[in-house]
This record gives sequence, structure tokens and C-alpha cells, in this order.
Amino acid sequence: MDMFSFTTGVFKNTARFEIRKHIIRDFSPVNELIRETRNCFQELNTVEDDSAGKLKWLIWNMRQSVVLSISPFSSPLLRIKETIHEIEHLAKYFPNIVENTDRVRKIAQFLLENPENPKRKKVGALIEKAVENDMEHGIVTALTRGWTQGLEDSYISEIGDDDPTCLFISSAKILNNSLLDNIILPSDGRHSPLMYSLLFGGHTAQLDIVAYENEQVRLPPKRSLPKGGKHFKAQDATGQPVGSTQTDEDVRTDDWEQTGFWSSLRPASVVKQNFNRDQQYVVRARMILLADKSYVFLKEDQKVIELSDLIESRGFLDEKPKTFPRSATSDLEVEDMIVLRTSGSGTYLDEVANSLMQKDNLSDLGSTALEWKPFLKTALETHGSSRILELLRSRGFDLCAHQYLWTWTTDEVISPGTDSKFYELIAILDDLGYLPPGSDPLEYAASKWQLMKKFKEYRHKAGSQIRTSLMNEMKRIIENGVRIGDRFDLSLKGVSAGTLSIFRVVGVDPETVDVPYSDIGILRKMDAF
Amino acid sequence: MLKVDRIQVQTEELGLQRLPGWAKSMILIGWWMRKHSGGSARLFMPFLLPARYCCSAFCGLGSLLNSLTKDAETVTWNEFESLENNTRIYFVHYGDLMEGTVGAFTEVNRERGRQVYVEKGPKKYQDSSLSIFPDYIQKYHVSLTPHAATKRQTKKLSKAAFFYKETVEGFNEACIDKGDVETLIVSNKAAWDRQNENISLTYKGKTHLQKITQLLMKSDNVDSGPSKTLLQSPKTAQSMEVPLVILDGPDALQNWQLFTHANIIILLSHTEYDQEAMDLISMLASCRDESIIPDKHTPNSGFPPGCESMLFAVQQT
Repeated sequence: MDMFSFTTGVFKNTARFEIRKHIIRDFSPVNELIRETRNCFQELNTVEDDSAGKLKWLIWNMRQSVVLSISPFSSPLLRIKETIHEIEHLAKYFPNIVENTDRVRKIAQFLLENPENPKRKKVGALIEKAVENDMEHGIVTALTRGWTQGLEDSYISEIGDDDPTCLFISSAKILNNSLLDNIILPSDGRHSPLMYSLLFGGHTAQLDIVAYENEQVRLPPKRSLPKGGKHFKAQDATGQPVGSTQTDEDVRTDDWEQTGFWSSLRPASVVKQNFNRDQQYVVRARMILLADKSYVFLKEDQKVIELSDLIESRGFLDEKPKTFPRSATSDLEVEDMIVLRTSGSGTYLDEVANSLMQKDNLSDLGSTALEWKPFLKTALETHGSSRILELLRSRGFDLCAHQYLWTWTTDEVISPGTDSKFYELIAILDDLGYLPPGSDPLEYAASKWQLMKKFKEYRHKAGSQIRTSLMNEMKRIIENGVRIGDRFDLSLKGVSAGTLSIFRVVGVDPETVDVPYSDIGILRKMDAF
Repeated sequence: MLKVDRIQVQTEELGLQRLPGWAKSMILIGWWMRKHSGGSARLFMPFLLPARYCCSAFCGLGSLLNSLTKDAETVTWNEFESLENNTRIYFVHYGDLMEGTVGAFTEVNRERGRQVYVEKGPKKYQDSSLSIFPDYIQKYHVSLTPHAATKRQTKKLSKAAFFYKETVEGFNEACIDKGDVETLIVSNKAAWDRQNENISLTYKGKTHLQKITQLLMKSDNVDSGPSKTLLQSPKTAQSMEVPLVILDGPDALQNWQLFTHANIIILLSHTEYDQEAMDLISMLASCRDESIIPDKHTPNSGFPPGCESMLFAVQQT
């Protein structure tokens, strides 16, 4: 649909927008579960360690699976049995909540024995009605800011086969491209990252909210322009704030969902609080959750290849783009498809460059040209980056910050910008005693500078070889209609290096954290999953 | 006066139809903000919308249509008469843009005219001269500053002139040739082009369609042709003096400081109106002077549903 027609549709939807609430009353197991899990959180909020974090995550995940899913409660997708087992195991270390978790176990047991899910019935009826009335419709599956075990799959398995016309709205990207007559939101919406867009984005004319009584539906008020001046506002149905009936306990649990969810996921082994920035290379990074239950930390200012638009548009087949679309880490969204390396060591680019150098019998070029980098790293670790910068300044060169020196120890920046700056750096390393014995610093710097120039040429060649091969692979994937699910391993023909894979993003940490540089880009499995 | 109801739109999806209310509102806002530019009050109009796709193009069109009612500042016969010999002038002759210097007075059939020595123009006029007479001076669009359009573009623009004539009362054709940028749109260029490339407009009773980008006389830089509407990317936006600036989206909003005299329309979707945007607009609005808002005919009716807007004025510095 062209954007003019889309916008016209958005304004039409806004003019006739209507919210219908369908509250499921008198289903006590869910009401009880919400109360008991809330009590668990109250107790655990005072404890700050990894086990408490994991336990909170498990309790939260089970509550969300029960409250937000439409699958029968016995569905293996929800993993209620397994999760309750893990909760019981961990709860032994927290005597204050043993009684609460025991009650949670009993409720879970009851639900497993009486698996009929009342939300399923309600949602099913609404979908049936939408189909009957020939309404273009969808259901929101992005119901939490993080990721809840089996939730999306439960919707697809319950609805997908019966109603292929139903759109599963699992991300902001999908919602932003949608113009529907009817959207079903099977929750109170307060944990959904899409709530504001659902209410004020004009994506639907009718929003059906299906929630349990204890979910306590409340709609966020529309953010208004500042007071003063002349104001103009059209009459519409979306501007009315709805009063909140939340309790304090809900607010506390919500706070945890907003902040604690991610902090409980960030592994302490990677994210340390007290770094010595002078003697360690630390970068601001964001944790990205991937659909194959792994995670990766990406530098905040890093750009990664993001293919979702390319895969969807198919325009790629007619005209190959010269470069791949890249997205800054801070701009990544749920449902983005990012390319990461999944085997080998170092950067993918270097690995390809190494194989090219080997072919030309120059296998030592990289290690010889960059021999000075480990010397610099040791010098920084020993003397600190601020001391080394002082020495560089005394020789007439300056940098924006002493931490920047650390980038010269990595493959991101092969060499300082000018040969004169490099000569001075090598002279400093020589003064501090880090050069090989008997080296003449001037000759050493001149020879390394020449070798680095050659090394950069190979990196450049490697870059274009990867690009061409990746383009051909993408073309093949799109032409053959290959479905890219949670993860897709790429085999790049003619490129000798480890493997690259495409991953679907399922969560992006709203906050950045300090992470050692060596942990950037390393894929790890998420224990709690 | 703007005859917005005469405008019709065609897209692949919708076919030919009357302009929807939201697009009309955007044209009216652009018209009104351009109309009140250049005074002692500098106007700001932030807009919160359910979606802002295509909105800046229609605001820009309103601004352009208003600018076509202005005095084009072409040279009158009295001014022409009083120019010193060898003064350089720019003029249009049978659609060709030409440059020359004024010379001696002549008399043909008792009518007094003045010679112009052609220095730049089509080959056939090279090293020749022509005479301009009082009755025809308007046809020549004589100006002391260069015109923007080339001959080919002038032909294209003459098609656009039919559209302008039918939709604007008081349309001054000479304004088309002037090279002044009327509106600067700061927006993601690739997205903007994608959103607007397939919108064609016409007026009631005619089926000859013209692309909105053509009607806007849009270009990406001031040197690339007749550009009444300039599109700049938020990342590379540069300061310039224009009557109206449209900041299309949150990235564009960050550039507000570049434009120190223009009236400013800010377009944001509701979801884009976050704390940062809120703080910035609050800060701008805190400098307002309630007493200098132009009080007549403020664009206070027919706002499309789901929209919120405010108007405030600050004293020109």
C-alpha cells in the first residue's frame, strides 16, 4: 500500500477508533496466582544476588505464561511443570517464600489438571466474529517487554492453522506497517511495548482488550503538548485518559518488569560494576536477546548488518544494493534480523583477510604488522591509559580521551591516523621497554607502518569478497523463498572463514552497561531459558 | 485566497479522489504559516499526529501556493528606465532565460523603449540586442537577480502554473521563475522520496496529473534547478534563510537551532513525542510572547481527528 493511502487509512481509523474491554471474571486460579507471585516479589525485592534474580525471573515467567497465554495450561509450550520444578528447587534457599511458592505450585498443579484456558475461548470468539464480518484483523503477541517462554508460539499454534488471515503482531515493526479493522490485545497491555501505538497510532479502528479481572486494565493517557500559546485539538475517541486502579504491589512488580527483568538477565560475569577504566578497555554496550535463546553484547556505537527490510522488500532481486543495510545497536528492534559470526575467532573480516594473505604466501603479514599492539596493551595495563596519553601529549599529540588509546589495541582501528603519531607512540613504547631488545624505534615504526598499509589492502579485499558472497547468498535465499526462522546459518561460497548466521532479535535491553571489550560480539546461551 | 477544495489526488491504491481532510489541513497550515512569515513575530507550530507520512509534503505545498501570491519583485518600467547604462539584468524571452546589460533608449512608432545587449542565452541571440517597451516589460520578467529555471524546466513549470492558477486566487506567474527557496523540509530524504513519489495532484475538471514533487519544485540542493522547496537530511542539515522550515520527525527536530528567523512547523507522531521532544518543545514554548500571535484567521478549524497542535510566537531577534 502506498504511504498516502496508508496515512489516509490511519486518519480514518483514528476518527472511528473504539476500545472494547472483555473482562474475564471469577477465574480464581489466576487471581490467586497473581496475588501469590506478588508476595514472592515483595520478599525477594530485598535480596540482591544472582539466585534471587533468577528466581524472580522464573516466577515472573510462569505468571506471564499463565496470564498471557491462550494455550491450554497443560501445553508443553508453556513449560509450567518444568518451571515450577525449577522454582521449588531455588526457593529452598529463601525460607521466607517457601510457603508462597508452595501455594504457587498448588495453583500450577490445579491448572495442569484443569487445563481449559478461559482466555482462549474469549479470543477465539472475537476472531470468529472478525472473520465473519470480513474485518482485517490481528492479535498482539508482543505482550511483554522482555521475552516470555513459549508465548508467541502458543498463539501461532492456537490460531495459525484455523485462521491464516490473522496477523500476529509480535513487534513494533509489524504494527507500524499494519492498517487493520480490528486488533485483539489479549492482556491488560501495561507490559506491552506496543500499547501506546495501539491506542494512538491509528493502526486499527477497533481494539478488543481481553484480560482477567486482576490484570486491572488501565490505559496510558495521551502525552500532550505543553500548556500556553494557542491549542488546537480535534475531537476523537483516543484522548481520554482512563483512571488507574493499580495497587502499590502492582507498581512494584511493574517496576521490576521494566528494570529488574533486564538486570536479572545480565550476567554478573560479564557486567562488572567496578572497572578500572585506566587499565582496562571497557565499552558501553547493550544486551541483545536472540530467538535461539542466546544473547550477545553489542557496542552502543557499533553498526551491525540488519536484513529484515531487505528480506521483506524483495526489491533486492531487481537491483543489488552496493552495501548492506546496517543498524546502530541503539536502533535495533524486536524482529530485526542481524548477522553475527558463529564460529572461528577474532573478527570475520580478519579471518577472511588472513586466508587471502595465506594464498599469497604472506601468512605472517598480519601478526608481523600488528606486533606492536600486544606491547601497547601491556603498557596500558601496566601504566594506565592516562599516563600513556600524558607521554603522547608531551610529544605534541593529543586525543579526545585517554580511553581512546585502547582502540589501537584492537582490530577496529589498525593504526593511529598519521605516521608521525605512530612514530611517537612506538618511541614511547621503546622508552618504557616494551619493544623487542635491540630494536631501533624509528626503523621499527617505519617498517610496521609499511606493513600495516599492505595489511589494510588485504582487509579491504576481504571486505569486498564478503560483501559479494553475502549478496549472492541473500539473493539465493530470497529467490528460493527460504524461510528464515529464529536462526539461519549462512554458507558463503569462495570465502574461507568461520560461519556467519542470521539471528532474529527478540529483546533489546533498554539500558546500556559497561562491558569488557573482549566480551563484545560473543554469543552465549541464556541459562535462565 | 486558497481554493483547497478544488484539489484532487490520485494514488495507485485510491485512484482519483477529493483530497482527504488531513491533507487539506496540512496544506492550510503550510499556507497560513508561510503567510505570516517575515514579520516581527516568529511562529512555531508543533503537531502531534497519528502518522506523519506525507504530511510535510502537503504543508510544503501550502507554503509554496501562498508564496505564489507574493509580489515577485520584477523590475517595473519606471525602475527599468532609471537603471544606469550597462546595468546587468536577467530576463525571460520566449521561455529562454537570458542575461544582458541595458543600453540606450530607442523609439519605434513613437513608442519609447530601451535596448538590452544580450550576453548570455541561446546561440541565436548571441551578440545581438533587443528592445524592451513599457507595454511588454512584464512579459520579460526582468530582474536584477538570476532566475532559477532553465528553459526545459520553465516549460515543465508552465504546466504546473495551470495547477497553481486554478487553486490560488491572486496567483502571480512571475513568482515561479524566481529562484528563492520558500520552504525547507528537514526529513529523512530516502524515506521522504519513497512516501511522496507516487502522489499526483490535479484540480477539479481536469485529469492532467502532476507529481506533488514537481508541484513543490523540490530539489535536494539549491544549485540543482528551480527549487522552491528544498529537502535536507537531518544529519547534514545546514543553516539557511528561508521563510518556513518544516522539521519532519524527531531527528529533524534536533536541528531547530540552525534556523534563527524562519517560522517553524514541527511534525511528530504521537509515539515519537517522547520526553526529549517534550522537553525541547517546552523549552521553546517557554520563550513565547502571547501578545504577538497573529490573532486573525488562525487555523482553528477542521483539524483531523487524533491531531493535537499548538501555536506560539517568539519575538524575532
